[in-house]
Amino acid sequence: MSGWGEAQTAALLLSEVLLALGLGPLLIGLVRRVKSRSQRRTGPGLLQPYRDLAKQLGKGTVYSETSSGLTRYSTWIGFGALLAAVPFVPWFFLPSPIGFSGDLIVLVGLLALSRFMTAVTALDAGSTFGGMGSTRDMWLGALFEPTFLLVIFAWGAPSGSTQASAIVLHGASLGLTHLSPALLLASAAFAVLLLAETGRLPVDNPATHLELTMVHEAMVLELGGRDLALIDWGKSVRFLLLLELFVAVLLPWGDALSLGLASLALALGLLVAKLFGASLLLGNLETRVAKWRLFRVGDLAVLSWVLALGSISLTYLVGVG
Amino acid sequence: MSLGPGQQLLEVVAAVILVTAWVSLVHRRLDALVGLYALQSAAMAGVAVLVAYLYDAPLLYLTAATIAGLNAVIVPRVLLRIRRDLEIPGEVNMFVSVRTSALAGLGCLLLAELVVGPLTPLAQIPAAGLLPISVTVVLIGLFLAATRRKAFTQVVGMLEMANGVFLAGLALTFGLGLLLELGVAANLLILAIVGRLFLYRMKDSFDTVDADTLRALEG
Repeated sequence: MSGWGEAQTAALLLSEVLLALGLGPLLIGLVRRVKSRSQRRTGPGLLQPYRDLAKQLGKGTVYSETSSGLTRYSTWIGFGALLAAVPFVPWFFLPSPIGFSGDLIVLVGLLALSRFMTAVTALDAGSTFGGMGSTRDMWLGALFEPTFLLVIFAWGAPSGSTQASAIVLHGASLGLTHLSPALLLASAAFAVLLLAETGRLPVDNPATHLELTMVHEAMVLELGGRDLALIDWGKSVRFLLLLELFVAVLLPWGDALSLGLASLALALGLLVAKLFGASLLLGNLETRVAKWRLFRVGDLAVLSWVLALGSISLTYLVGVG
Repeated sequence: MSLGPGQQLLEVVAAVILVTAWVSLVHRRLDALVGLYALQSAAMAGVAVLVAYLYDAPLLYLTAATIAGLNAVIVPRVLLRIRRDLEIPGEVNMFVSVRTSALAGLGCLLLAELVVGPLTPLAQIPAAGLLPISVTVVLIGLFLAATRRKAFTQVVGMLEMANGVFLAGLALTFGLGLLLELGVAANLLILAIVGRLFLYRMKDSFDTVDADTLRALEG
């Protein structure tokens, strides 16, 4: 368990959740900005996602006539699952206030729960596009979740733990030798998985207006007002969570180990810098690739799975940890 | 596992070579395949430079320069030019699916680890991952040459095999000796030229570079 006091734990947890809620839309805005700039468009401002959320939250909600009462709760449950997942990712201080061994596996479960809730909401409205989107999304989940677990095991192999803070602390203590081939292979696998799990190109186009190619967008076609805001906000938090997990494991240096003001500020600055760097790379990547045919996404899943398993085999068969 | 930072870097570069080999199994564009080969060769040059620096073998710098110039720049250019001149369609045609290929790539790694992994402690090898990875690259090159329809892709597979053999040479002997390596480099160039001639002839006679048509009787 962690070495924080009770009041500190509560304050840290609250700061994590607020950070995730506040920073998520900004990152989405940043990726859109990078994309539009690299395509020579002006594009919307950085704060546009916040304005969208504010507009949606101010609107009333309309429910489809065929929907049961489920839609009234499912968006909240999905959003809540994502917020509950926030403390399981290492942020800017270590150890995590409520970390326990195996918490990354809980993270996978909570992400799956939010995915399931979105799919159920889409089915509940009774439109054909919703059903199509939810089938596709659940299919993607089935393809990529095994790889997610494999990557977690590969990441956890050097420290012998699947606890996020233990992995990051161990990595930071290794210095530059942390960047082993096995870690890089697993991280490459995670990078592919990140694109699929957060619905980015080439798996899903977040900016599409063509219903037939949609995955995530097809599921939210029937939603409006507060429900849409919850789903969109949740999606940005999901994006932030996975991106942060990626940069935290790949570059584990600079987290605050005590509550000094200077070290916290430095760690927070580094966190934002790492996330911004990753978003810049992602925005550029999204400019360069086209959306893949849905049935080719399986190839991507197999590649990512092979990379993850290759990483584990390097660790255990050759000892290149 | 008390590796110095140099050996660590060596293993990381070897992992890059492994990843390029794997990605070349899933890619469906010929040009991208050639680009991956160029990247792989550049990483090979990196391995040569690192081994030269770590084990104080100055002749290997020359080897590295040869690889960087020939394998990473000239051979890919020749290949791209052949593709453009012959108007070979840009996609890879394969006998086995992409997914099976990717799994076979993983199989190659596991096989290499099981077979040559135990040898690593016996030989004096700069980094433990180097030998299995080089054997894996040879196997993947062989697989690429065996399961793709176009003679063009088969040439790329052969070249990747050559890279794998070269990596094994670097790992086992800290460089095979300059003369031998220059010979190997010259051979590669000849391979590219012969491949070029072969493809031109084939295109001339059959109007295609699909090696599968060679089985049919002309008539």
